Amino acid sequence: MTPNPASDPTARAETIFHAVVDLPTGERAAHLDSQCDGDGKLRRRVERLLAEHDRGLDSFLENPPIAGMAAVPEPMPERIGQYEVTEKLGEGGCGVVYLAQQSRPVRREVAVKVLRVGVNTRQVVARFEAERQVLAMMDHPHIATVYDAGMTTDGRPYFVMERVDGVPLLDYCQQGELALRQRVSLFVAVCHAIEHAHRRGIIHRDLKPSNILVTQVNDQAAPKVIDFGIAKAIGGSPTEMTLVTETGQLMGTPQYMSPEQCTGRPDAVDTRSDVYSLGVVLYQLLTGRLPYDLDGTHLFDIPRIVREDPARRPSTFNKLLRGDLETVLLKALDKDRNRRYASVEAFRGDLEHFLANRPIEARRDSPWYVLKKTISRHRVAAMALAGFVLLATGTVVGLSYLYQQSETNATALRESLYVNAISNAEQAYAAGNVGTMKSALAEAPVALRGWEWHHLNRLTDGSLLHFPDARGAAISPDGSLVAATRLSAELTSENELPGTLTIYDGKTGAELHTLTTDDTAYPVVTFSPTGALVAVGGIRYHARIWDAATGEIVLELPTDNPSRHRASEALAFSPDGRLLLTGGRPPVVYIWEVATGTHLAELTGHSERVHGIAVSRDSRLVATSDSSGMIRLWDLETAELLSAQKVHQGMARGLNFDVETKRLFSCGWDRWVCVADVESGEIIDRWGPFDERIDGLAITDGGLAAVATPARVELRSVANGSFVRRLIGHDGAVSGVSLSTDGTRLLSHGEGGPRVWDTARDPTRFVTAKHNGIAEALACSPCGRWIVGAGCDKVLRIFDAKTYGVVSTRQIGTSRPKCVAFSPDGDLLAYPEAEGREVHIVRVPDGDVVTTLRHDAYVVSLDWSLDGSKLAAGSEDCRIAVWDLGNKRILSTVEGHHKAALSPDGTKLLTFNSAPRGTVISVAPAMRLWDASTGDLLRVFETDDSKTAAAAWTRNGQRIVTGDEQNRVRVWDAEDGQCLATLAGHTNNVAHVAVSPDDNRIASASYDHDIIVWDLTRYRKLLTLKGHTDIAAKVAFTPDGHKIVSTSADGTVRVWDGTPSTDPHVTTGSRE
Amino acid sequence: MAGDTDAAITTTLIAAGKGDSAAAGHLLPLVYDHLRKVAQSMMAKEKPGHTLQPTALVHEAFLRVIGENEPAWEHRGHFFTAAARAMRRILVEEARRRATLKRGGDRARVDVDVVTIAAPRPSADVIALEEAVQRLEAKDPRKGKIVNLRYYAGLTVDETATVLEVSVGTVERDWRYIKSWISAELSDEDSCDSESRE
Repeated sequence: MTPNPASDPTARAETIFHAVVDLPTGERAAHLDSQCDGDGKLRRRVERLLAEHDRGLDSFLENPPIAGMAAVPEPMPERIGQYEVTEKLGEGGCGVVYLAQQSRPVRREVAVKVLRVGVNTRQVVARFEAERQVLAMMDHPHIATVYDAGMTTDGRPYFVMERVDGVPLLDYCQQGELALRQRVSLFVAVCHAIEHAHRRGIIHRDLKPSNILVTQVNDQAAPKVIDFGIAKAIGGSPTEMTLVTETGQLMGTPQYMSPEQCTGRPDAVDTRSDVYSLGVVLYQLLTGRLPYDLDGTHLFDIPRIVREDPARRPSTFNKLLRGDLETVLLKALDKDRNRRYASVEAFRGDLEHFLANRPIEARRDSPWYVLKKTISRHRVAAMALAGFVLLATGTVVGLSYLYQQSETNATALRESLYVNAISNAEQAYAAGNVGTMKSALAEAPVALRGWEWHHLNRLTDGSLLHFPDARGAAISPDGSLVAATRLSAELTSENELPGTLTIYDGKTGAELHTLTTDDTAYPVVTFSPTGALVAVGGIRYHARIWDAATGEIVLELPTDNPSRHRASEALAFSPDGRLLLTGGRPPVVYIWEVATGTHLAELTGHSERVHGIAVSRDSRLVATSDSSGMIRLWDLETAELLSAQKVHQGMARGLNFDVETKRLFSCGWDRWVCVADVESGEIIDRWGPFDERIDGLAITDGGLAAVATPARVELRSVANGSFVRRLIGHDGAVSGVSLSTDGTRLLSHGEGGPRVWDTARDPTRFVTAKHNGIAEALACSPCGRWIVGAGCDKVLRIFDAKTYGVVSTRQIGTSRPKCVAFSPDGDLLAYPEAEGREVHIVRVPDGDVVTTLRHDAYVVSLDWSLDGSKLAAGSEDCRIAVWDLGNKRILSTVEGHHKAALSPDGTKLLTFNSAPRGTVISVAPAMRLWDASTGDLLRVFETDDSKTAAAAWTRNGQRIVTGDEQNRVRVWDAEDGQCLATLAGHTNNVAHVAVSPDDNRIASASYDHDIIVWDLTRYRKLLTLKGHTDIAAKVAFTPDGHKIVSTSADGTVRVWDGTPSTDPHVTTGSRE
Repeated sequence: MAGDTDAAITTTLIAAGKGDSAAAGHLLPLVYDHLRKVAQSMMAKEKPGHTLQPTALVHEAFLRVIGENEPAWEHRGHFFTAAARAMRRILVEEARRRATLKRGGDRARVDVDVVTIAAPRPSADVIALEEAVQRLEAKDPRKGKIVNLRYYAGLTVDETATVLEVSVGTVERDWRYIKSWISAELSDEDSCDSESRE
């Protein structure tokens, strides 16, 4: 983007600079006269540039710093953590390995691997901590133990490992000129080690010859597999998987990576990936080469070659391999992991058969299989060929079949792209990376975007208000106003790049006043303590003050020496509102009287730019910070310097006194928040180090702190700095924060514009109300207006589905209400009353009782048919009554189960078992389907021995979705009773299931606390909703299918919003 | 065969090319490590006092990573951008660290020396330069890219033009202006266009 020369003085200066720079010095003046046309400022600017040009013929910019890189070798540290470094063992791309001495708790030699800069240390160390227990389970003579991980003082992660005095596997075999059988024997020992790890759920993921060292133990060669640092338990949580991916990208070696790893799908990696990598290692061990010809290959092509090209026959290089060993190698290296050895054990077994001269298990590919492989590899050419063959034999059907196949492949590809994109976005969300999240979501094919996409899309911005093109901003102390500056593109007569200051309503984001300034719209903005005034720092002015209510200028503090004053970088009102302090460049803090504009005093003695000013609550002390990290305390009355202390290394900002003027908070580019005792100057607390420099800090009297680094905005507790939560929404660097006095509203600003946040609201975990105890009963009204929940506190609560506020509460006479049901029009609500022996039907929301139905046992389930004609109630003693709501008579009663689900047309009744814990009821677990009117048994669903906890019909009545106590979600054909799919993903009992109104999604609630969203047509897991902290009991879709509501034993009702929004990132104003 | 580092860079470059910002972050240490190794080995061969040609350095590093077979400017673009970012970040961090030591900071000993570059300019200037470049980037992204490629990655004008897909004339013209502008920004006098300051 080139600035418009007409409107931008800088661009004009540039244009003139280019026009005159090549002229002889003597001729320049005349040109400048005409071009600058009397604009002295412009002329000075151009002259400055010309002077620099003339002076800087051999500018330092012509000498890139890269040239100086080699000058000094990296010195060896004396210590890393508690380890005393003795020598450098080696250096790799990712780090340096040192030999070190550990003295506590045991004295031993260890290897310490220090990773290079550029990795997220906190994540790495956290990953290790998560991994530590798993790794500790490994105890094998051929596996090097990883003892510890930590962070060096300069913030890099290190791993402490068993010191292995050995040579890399390939070197060992070559140097020792080992014979074929010796090599295989050595490799078998490596396999044993990997099997040991696999049995504990640990995949290595980065097996290669340099990670296998050979040591000599009693004259015997003993391999040691090192670097189990990136191994992870199979089926780890998504968070862990993310970290593994990141490490995988860091450490991965494409030559040894399996085809599934080369597709970049971390979830596709399992123990068979290690089988593949081991296959490459053995291939290289036996042939001296890699399975693919990579000589002269562009390295970018390696992943593609690994995925697509067949491995070269090992016998080409070594005739001794012809036969069984070749078969074994090619089986281990199969692209299709289902055709690979299923385990390292099987692989190793065949090698042992070879060593013992027994027949091997692996079979060579049949010619037919080879042909099929060729066809799939060269689809286009093969199609033509196949077409020819088939036509020649008159089989036209075959050809169209092939076409269909390729069409199916394209659909399958799109679908897997989608699932992949959702999973990437989910992981990026867990890691708090909004940018990655947005790009992952953008990759999801539009046609396939469903609830989960919209839900994740909403999570990319959790802010209440966003002002996309504004620069600096502040929120008023009461949170009612927001002031933001922006640069204006319009040219003014002064030839300046002017800007505007806009005052917004802090609740709605509505614009109240927009004020044009004749100074640059400087991003330093602050409200006076009462919120009545807004001060903006500047260049032509130390500051200008506006009346926030009227938009009138109240005070201007012009600079009397514009060449000296370069910018106000910090502003602060005294808490009594009487004074304004400004500071920046030059490094002086000016004290002004707000009422009169009188310049009262200056705080001089700063050596570098002033970046922070704070006045204590009693208006007695001033604290200032500068770019060198010095923090100075001054007496406000006398302007006397009381103390000066270097608190931060580099830039210090974000000064805040606590209410009692006992503690002074500051943040800095050294990545720390420091808390100093005001009296003694001692640092009494430090939070950090953060991942990056800290640019903003704000605290409230209520004990809430907001911290901004370029990558994140976090809330913390002032008391001890403990993490409260992260605000997700900024996808550019954040440069500052301000908080309302009560701490409910936070404003953050930086690249991409300021955002206002509700500090109490977490968009994923929207807690509507706390039930006293588990809310086992939950329903969303079909009209979309109400959500109802009832819990052990004997209170039925009706919430407004839009505002989540409680509309009405009703005391009920059932101590453990387990069910509620809305009528299809949402006007009526059924719930168990009188200790479950009655079903009351009341009007919503006023609660007038319309009907009372009697059931002579404790009612535990209710289901209203979609046509509104019938209500089924199941009781604790396993009897289910179906009422005709027209005449309030019982149509049928069936026995054997607690729970029932009426088909959408009300004609069929599905019953299933779910005995409360502790009760002994001996009924068949199988689900049964009945005629709802007559009570005739129509069908029995064979559900093996597991109890079905929940069942839901699809709207079209064709499918039934169930959740059972073997952690499964299953889909059944309602017609023939066949199980169509079994969905695995929950790690504990499935408590409840719901089907979306469009029959496309399933939501399931589980004892594992999670809600999982599934694709009902493709039978796939899409998204896990994490947030409940105890058993998730019930789940429901709102009638529009946009929201998922869930209840949990943690006492909360949560709403997960997947409402499609056109583009929430560019709107100004409220999104609710 | 290519070393593990090369391979890691490759995988990461691919991911970075697809827009994975985490992967781009991982490039920094890898690229930096490569540059340093190349520089060291070239230094060992050079006579004392001889100045290394930065372009030769960065190209050697690139060739070691990517190989000579394909021109692949698109990949080179990724690589050089990453190299520039690595240099910039390392210079600034190094300058901050030096400033700390110079001021007798509270850390008596630096455990592991992250980088040791003979900084071409005093540390204060490196930070001032970083700030100036940030302002330039904010104002005119193309000029920012030119500084990155020309100064931090050490590319020639021609190479910079190829990576940015602009004419050589444009780069030359911009570069001449950039040099003057940055020099003016770094001098203590009044800024050339101080309103660009955030």
